[in-house]
Amino acid sequence: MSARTLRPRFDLRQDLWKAVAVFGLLALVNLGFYLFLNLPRLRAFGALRDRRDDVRRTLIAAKNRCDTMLDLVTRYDEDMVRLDDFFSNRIGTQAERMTSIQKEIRAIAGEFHIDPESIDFNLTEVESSDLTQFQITIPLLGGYPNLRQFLNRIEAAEHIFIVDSVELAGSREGGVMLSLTIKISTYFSTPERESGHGRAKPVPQGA
Amino acid sequence: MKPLPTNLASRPFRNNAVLGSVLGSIAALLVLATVFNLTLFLRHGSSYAEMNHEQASDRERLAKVDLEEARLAREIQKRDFRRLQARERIAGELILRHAFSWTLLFNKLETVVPAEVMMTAIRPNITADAIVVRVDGVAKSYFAFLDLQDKLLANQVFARISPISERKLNPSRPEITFALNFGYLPKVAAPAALLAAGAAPGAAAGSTSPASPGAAAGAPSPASPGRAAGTPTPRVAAPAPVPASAPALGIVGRDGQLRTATALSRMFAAPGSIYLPPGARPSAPAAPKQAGPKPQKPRAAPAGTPPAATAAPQPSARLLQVPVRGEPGLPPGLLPGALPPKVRMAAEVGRGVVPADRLDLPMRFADRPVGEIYAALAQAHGVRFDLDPGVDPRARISASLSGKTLADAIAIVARAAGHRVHRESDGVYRVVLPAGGAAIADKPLQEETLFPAEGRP
Repeated sequence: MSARTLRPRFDLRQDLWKAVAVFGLLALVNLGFYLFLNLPRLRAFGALRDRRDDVRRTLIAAKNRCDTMLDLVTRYDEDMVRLDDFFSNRIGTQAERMTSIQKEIRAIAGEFHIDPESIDFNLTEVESSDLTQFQITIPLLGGYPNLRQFLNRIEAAEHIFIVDSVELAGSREGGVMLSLTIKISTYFSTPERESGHGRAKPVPQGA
Repeated sequence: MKPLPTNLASRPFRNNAVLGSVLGSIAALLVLATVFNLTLFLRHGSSYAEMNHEQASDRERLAKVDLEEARLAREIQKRDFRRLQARERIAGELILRHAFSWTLLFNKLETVVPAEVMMTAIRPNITADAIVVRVDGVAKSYFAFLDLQDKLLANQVFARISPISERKLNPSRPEITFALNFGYLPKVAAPAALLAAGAAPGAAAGSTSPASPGAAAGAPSPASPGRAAGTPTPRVAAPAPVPASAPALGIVGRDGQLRTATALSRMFAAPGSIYLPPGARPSAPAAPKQAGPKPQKPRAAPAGTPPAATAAPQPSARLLQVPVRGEPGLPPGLLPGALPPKVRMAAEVGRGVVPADRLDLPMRFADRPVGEIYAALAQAHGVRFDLDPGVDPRARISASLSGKTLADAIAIVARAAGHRVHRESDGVYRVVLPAGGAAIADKPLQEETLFPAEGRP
């Protein structure tokens, strides 16, 4: 048996340098491919992604602003509807409510045997608003239970009546019969009045 | 001797396992790197195109959103938010002031105002931040005013008590006028009322809902105010059967207790009127008809003590329906027999009212301590008797009070015991000895005429 026949086709030790050379060449090719082709592409892709993310962030912020503004507009419209409903249906205009309020007051006064002729009315405009205050001063002659009953009746009235004050004007029969002055306010909406300019003044309290 | 090297192997021994493993690993890494490079190269195109598309899409949406934003900005500019805010504030204040319950306020004030203090003006200042109540009044003495302040301070419903002024009505007399500010916390006061409303929500005192007065009063079937004030014939309608364990029928009374059926019955009964057990309230017999030209006004609160001296937070139907009747402690001019014709007629009507009758309480007393008799009367009629320190509660008397009205019963007991009974306030009576103690029923304060320093009257 000769030495030639004994040597295998690939001897690891004898062909080691060939293998190393092939591997090195392959590594160099890969490195060059990555550095000169893939890396610039990756950088371009990253830049594109950054730009897309910027646009997306801007879009999200704009959408949030838009939603906020839309919510604001929606709430404004809803509040306006509710306020219009409140001022038109609950408060009402002077033309609509003046007589009915007087009728109700007279009816309540009649329940308590108050002379309607002694009821005083006072109409004043609420500054910087489209409201008119209609204050009614009612003298009530009776006992404390009468006062409680009267106030309860006023609180349960159909119209919005606000009791501004209860004052004792005098008493009779040792204090059993009290002469009371009750000031009640209600308000009319007067949309024709110039309003909305400057700060609105809060509704004045009482007389 | 030199040893001979002997190697009988047919081929040289070489261990290639380690070297082969290293080379294999390097080869695998190189393969992976190649696959990675190729994948990057091949997929980059599609990813880049996709990213470009997303960016374009986002830019397109952004443009639309910008347009929408600009449109909304124009819409907002068209709207007057300042006016809306002002209107909302006004509406809010109106609603707040409308929702303010004087009934609840009076309920709470009744618990703190001493009998010696009379409020002459109450003006609440209601804002979204707080409710400040300004009270003007008259007190019998400086100490009564202090007592009022103490009670206000002790009550959690009231806060920031700040006296403003006090002036003597007359330098020679102890009465003073005062002005007082205090904060009022209806949120603290309201839960009790809401709790007391029980199964009838919306009927609570202080409820902002426009419930009927009858519903708010919590009474089973109170008469309307007009009837109460004008009709001289009281009539108690039979209510629907209410279980005695019902949580509450109305609002909180001055004692802070729930207005149950029992309490309501007692309230209607006392003083000197009808008591019927809960659940059994037949109609009262018809009172004799009035022949007077005008119906008598209902009996009112006791002299000079409006908020503090009334037992019921709600005006009780009895107080409004039953005309004035003579009771101990009233000024002589108001006693039966000395009454004006109209009042006398009303008193006669009042006698037609069924007297208090507690079937479960014996009202016949034989040689019993007078204190015990007063206690039984108080229990039967739902009133309170304050015995003067000079009164001996152990003094024994005999009296038959069955079927008697409170006024008659008091008169009998007072006559038998030699006492005088003054009505301090609604439902509160003070028993004194005839020799001592002045009538506590408030008389109207009258200023004495002042003369010039040098002058003579």
